[in-house]
Amino acid sequence: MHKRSIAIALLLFFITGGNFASAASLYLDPESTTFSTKDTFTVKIRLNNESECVNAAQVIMSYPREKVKAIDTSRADSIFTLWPEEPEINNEAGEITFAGGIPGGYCGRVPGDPGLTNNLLTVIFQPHTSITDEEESVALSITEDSSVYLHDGRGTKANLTTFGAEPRVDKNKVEGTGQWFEMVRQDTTPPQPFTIEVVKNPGVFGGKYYIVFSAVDKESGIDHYEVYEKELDDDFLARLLWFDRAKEFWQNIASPYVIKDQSLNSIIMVKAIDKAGNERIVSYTPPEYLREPSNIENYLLIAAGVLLLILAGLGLKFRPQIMKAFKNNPNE
Amino acid sequence: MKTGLGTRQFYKLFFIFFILTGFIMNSFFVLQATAQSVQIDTFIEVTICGNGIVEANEECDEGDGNNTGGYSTTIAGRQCNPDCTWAPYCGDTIVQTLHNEECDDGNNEEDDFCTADCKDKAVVGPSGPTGSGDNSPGSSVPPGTTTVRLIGKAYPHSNVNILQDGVVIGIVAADAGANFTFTTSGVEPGVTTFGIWAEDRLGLRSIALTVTFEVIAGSTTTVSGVFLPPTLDISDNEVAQGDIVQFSGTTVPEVNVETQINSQHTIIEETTSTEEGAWQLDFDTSPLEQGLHTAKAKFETEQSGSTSESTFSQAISFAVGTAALGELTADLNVDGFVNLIDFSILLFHWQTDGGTTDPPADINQDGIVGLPDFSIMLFQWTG
Repeated sequence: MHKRSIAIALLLFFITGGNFASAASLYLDPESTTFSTKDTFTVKIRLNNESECVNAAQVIMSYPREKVKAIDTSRADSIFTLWPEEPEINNEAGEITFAGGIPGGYCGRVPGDPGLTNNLLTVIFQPHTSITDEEESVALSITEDSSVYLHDGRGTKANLTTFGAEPRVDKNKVEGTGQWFEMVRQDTTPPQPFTIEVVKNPGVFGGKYYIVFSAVDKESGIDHYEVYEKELDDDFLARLLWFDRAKEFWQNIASPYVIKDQSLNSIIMVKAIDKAGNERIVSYTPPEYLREPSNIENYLLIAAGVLLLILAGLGLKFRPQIMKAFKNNPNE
Repeated sequence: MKTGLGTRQFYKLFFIFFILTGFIMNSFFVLQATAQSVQIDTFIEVTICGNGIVEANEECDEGDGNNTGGYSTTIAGRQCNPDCTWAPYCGDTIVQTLHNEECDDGNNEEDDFCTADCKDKAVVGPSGPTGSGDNSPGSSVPPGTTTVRLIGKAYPHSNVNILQDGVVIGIVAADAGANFTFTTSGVEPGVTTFGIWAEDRLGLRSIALTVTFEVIAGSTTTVSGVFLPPTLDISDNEVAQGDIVQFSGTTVPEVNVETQINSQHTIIEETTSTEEGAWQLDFDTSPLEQGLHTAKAKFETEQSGSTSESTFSQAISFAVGTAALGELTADLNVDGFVNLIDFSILLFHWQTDGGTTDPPADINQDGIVGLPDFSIMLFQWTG
């Protein structure tokens, strides 16, 4: 029986030449190296498209949570520019998940390209100080649930092969490279300019206005976005009557984001902040024809209406006294 | 005395049979692999001005920081521009009036009608004062500027849309020969993806051809061989077996257009584009079995003695003797473009059934808005 299995395996190997068809592979870089326990180390998740153009991927990377923890991720030199699922670290489960894509697809490295240019995400790990052995291997892997999609216009899954890595952490290795923190420290360039688009679609967010945006940072990568809606009508009366002062604070958001001022009487400012804290602020001023009458005008109208009602009520209530006062003064 | 094969001899023969089969099959696969590796769809090449190597589309390259581009009074002392073209010099056959040249006969010899330093004599050089037009569009690029130049072919007189990391950064017009050159300066160094698409005279759009590479700070990176595939339209996407179906579109003028029709056996048909770049193929569907089929096209052209090809166009589907499939559209807000707004609609419906939007956010209609729909959207991306 054993001999027969070997024979079948041999036959398969010879017939296929060991070359099983595979349209894409995900691998970790570096595959093996040694790091100090006192330092962070980075691992890149790379894509090899082999013979096919690909455009999207969902990746689940697992790591031994008892040995290391993931402290951050960087999209700085990623080929992906759109992220339906942002990178998420789960140190309890020992997993990092994300889904991203590249408009127009990725067809591999171009001859003459000085870079490797196939990185999807960089993960920064910190070894636990509780590691007791002198040298310990850290088995990193990309799970079978990961997927890569062909750039064929039909959403076809590519045949995927995954390769893990096994870096080692060494207690005796004193000199740490500190490459991640050094890279962040050296990043003084703000994220690249980007645009804000205001959108209204009947089928999305109940037909409310929302904004979409996407920024790129080539050095340390985008960390997060913030928004601030600043009212256009900023005179004294507006300040007096404008009750929602909380809007003046920057708030963490993600694209798409439903704006608070649905009347479009506010300048919308979005701040992209990279891992080093560099900021790029872009703003959008809604055109006049899109703006609804401002709330201040509404408040004034309401206040005037209420005042009239009060006066009318008082008039009705004190009608006899008023009439009497008129009668007692025959000169008028 | 035994007359048949013993068990051991049987295994030996069986093993030899394995080995032989293995070699034969391996040879077959190796040959096939070799044959496939020869067939290169398109050859997009990145060259970096400033790396000290004179590459394709470069006239010179003195290395990082040395392409200063000053005027020289001799051929031997000529200097390289920041975009890797030669800076003006006496001997370039162009009368550099800005540098007080009175003549330029293409050399630095004293004994002919123009002196060694391009002075004297009444006879002037053969051409005007500024050189060769768009071949050196970056000649005014100051040293240290990070520049990317894309050189390729689209459709005659078409507008070519250039995307950087998914966002349109410029539109450039192709000439009558479908050639275009796009130069952009001030690009942030690092991994960058450029997408290129165009619309032909009939309003048909190409797929977005993308190139991902690392942009080097302070250098001019030239990407050559950016050939957009032919646009492709079909006269009828539901035909009876034996009907004639017409494929047509636009491509580079006077090139060979290869249309690949996918059936049980792939059928390849060829035709030639006109001077205006139009191409048309009348295809008899008799050899096709009943069912759904796809067709795609690419062009071939001769360049410097070697054949270059474009990538294939997007596949167009049609049905023979049956109902055609509806086209999948990722233009979810129906504004004619597939961009961040459509992506936001997709994200709104992410991991749901997509609701009842029209066109559906569940683009492939598999019951859930997920990565396959996202992939289709990225394929149709226009920016």
